[in-house]
Amino acid sequence: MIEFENVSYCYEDDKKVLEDITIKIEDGDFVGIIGHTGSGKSTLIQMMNGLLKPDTGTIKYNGKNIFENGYDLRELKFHVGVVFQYPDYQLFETTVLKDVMYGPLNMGMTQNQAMEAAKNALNLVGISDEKFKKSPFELSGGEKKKVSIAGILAMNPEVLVLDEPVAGLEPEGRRNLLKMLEKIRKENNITIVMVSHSMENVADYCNHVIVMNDGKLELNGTPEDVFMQAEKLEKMGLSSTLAYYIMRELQNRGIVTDNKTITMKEAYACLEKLL
Amino acid sequence: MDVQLLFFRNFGVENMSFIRIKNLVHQFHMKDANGEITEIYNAIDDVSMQIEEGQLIAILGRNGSGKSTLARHLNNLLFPDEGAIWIDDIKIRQEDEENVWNNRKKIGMVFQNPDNQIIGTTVEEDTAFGPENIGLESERIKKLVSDALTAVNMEHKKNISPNHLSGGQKQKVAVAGILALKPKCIVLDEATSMLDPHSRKELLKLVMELNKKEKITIIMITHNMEEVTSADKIFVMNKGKLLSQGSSSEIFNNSEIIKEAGLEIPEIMELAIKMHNKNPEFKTGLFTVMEFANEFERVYNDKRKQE
Repeated sequence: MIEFENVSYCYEDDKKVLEDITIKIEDGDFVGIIGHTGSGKSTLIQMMNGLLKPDTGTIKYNGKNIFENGYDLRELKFHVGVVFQYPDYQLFETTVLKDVMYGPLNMGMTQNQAMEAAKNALNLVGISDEKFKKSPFELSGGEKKKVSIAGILAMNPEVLVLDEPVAGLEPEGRRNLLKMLEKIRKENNITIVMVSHSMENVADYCNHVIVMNDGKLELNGTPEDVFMQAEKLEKMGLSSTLAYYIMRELQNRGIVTDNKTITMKEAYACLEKLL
Repeated sequence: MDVQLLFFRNFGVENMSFIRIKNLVHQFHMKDANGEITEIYNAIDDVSMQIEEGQLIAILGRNGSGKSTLARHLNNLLFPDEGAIWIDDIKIRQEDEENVWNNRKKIGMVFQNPDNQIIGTTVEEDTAFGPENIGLESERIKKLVSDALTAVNMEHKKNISPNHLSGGQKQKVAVAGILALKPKCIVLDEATSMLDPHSRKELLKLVMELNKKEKITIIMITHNMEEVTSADKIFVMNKGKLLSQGSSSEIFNNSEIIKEAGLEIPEIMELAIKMHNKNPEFKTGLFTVMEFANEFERVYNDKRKQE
């Protein structure tokens, strides 16, 4: 469990990046963080594994203050893994396998253990054996992304944090990656935190949505709680989901009475009965 | 003058398309560490297509399908190994420098990464780079730059360093740099993929306006299916070949092409197709909330009447 209590953070020029943020992320959650560029999303996730320290407020992992004297921040990074947006900045070894082994070796695993962990993680994200000896830089954008995720998964983290994991990927790659994340979450019983620009992806996969705006926590709740508030989202330069807008329009025309629909799956279930 | 052009002129044949590509082949040479060629493959493999002036065009397909390689031929960053390209009925000829420069003025490109295409120390200077490069006089440049920055709504930022702009603003400045050369066509090669939804919408709105008002031909290469629903024509590339071409509803109604080229049906259309499968009266080529609601209301009311 990750808890933020009244967390604030400023840049050196006193510009407020985060203002009094209090949130709780439960074990096994699939959390979506949305907000436009500069809303504080990236700062928020960099605090989750202690890469950034708040000016005021506390951050707790499993009940313990991670910035208290004596807390092992190095070990926290093995439990809470962050995958950044551009895999090019995260990959650096000469082969795919070595790249993914780096984290496990750093944790103190033996060469054999690290190789075992790396192979498992690469299989989990769907990178096949014949790619193990390739340079990470010969891979496609989607494959690089998968390798950078495998690099974190190989450390067997409890929480996987991803900054816009599907940005810049082709449609097939987007779908496959999201399905893979959901599978890993269920099978390995981990928590996933995903920064995303796609309201549809967040509505489809997440059970907890956090909306940031100008460094403040604007909305925090279930996808239904958040995406029902279309006007509020629009004021922040965001939007609700397409399914919500379709159902709202049909509601305005007196065709449906349901107004809690936020995914296409739900919309179809409701609408097919009427035809 | 191009022999072929002379031929058409002399025989009074009607003007052909704005862009005409015939049997284009472009080869990539894979080399090993010693520089020896290990493999030659056709990144573009016998592609023919025509684009009319003023159209809004989308090119879709997987990474590596040849979309960007094709686009790079249009403003002469790459040249054909086989086949030929005509712009305004003038054949592109690599050896003719004047011909190459004329084409680059006509067809500008905006690339994916906003940071790699900004060169000036101020927004104004950056936008002036193109016109200065072709040796226009300074009064003329001033006017072109000012008009271009006004068109992309960045006039108020003209004295700012591009480093202080957001990704979306940088892309707008890149568009201004092209507009300052009075182009006939702008190619956007995944130009929105690194932008947040708000900046993405703004940039799309801008290019749509340039297409409608200034009649500038727009060619968009993208992985975002929602962006291309209003295109006049979509070309689908797969493994270097042109797999299909047609209107957005023709392309997205063809499930085989969607699958083969790794595309995705826009969400609203996907829902419409499901509705169609439930009730064949329901039309499928729908892309907006309003189009869907109108069709749903129509079919719903018809059904009520029958009952």
